[in-house]
Amino acid sequence: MATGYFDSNGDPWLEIEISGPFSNPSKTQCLIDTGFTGFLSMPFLSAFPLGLILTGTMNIVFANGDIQPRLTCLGKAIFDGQTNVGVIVLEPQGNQVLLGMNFLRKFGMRLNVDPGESTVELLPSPIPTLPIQQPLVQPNMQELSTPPAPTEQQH
Amino acid sequence: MGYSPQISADRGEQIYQQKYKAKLEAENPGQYVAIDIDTENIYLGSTPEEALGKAQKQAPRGQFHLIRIGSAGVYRVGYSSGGQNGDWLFR
Repeated sequence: MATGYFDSNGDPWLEIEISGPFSNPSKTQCLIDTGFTGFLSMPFLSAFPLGLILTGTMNIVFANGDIQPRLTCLGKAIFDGQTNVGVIVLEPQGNQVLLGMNFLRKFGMRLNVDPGESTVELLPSPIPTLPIQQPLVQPNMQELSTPPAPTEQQH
Repeated sequence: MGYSPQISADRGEQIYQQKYKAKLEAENPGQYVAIDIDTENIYLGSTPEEALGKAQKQAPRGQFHLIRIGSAGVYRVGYSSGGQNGDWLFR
């Protein structure tokens, strides 16, 4: 289990490491934003020191319905002993790194935020499994694949 | 050659609309496509990273516009744009 923390505004934060393809990982504080469907988002100026390399653009849908392009890069995130590569959205301004739902999905984590207890926990997300039901009697596959014998029709 | 994010995205959207949209939205809804805005080649993936990874392998210096097939944007954010389009020049 990994733990984060609340800041004085009551926002949940998590420390992860981020790096580009040729740079050393750098510790980064991320604001957990479940309204963001992506992996990570960060101010453009923060991407240079991390050695992130631009890949191009994508359109982002904002809460007010606006659709706007943003620059993107691929970056490596290290957290709780795991490493994953994801698309990082670059914002033209701001000073926060946002951690979105795709980050949790990629790392197989579920978020347990308790503002009352001031705890932020990331727990392994259980993989849903369906019970495997074994038949009580194993069918004879040869019998199943053999077409039934024609029955005589009576008139 | 340099492109601003707006020009790069517009070019990618134009290529998508004219050449690929009808086919991809019928055959690959929900998948991701990285469009090389210079060559107009496309690279498909079930995740954004897969599509971009394929694209970079084929064209390491390419500029790609990423689209989620059938969606207005690749990602959603929970805040408003504030009317700033975040346009600037790169490369």
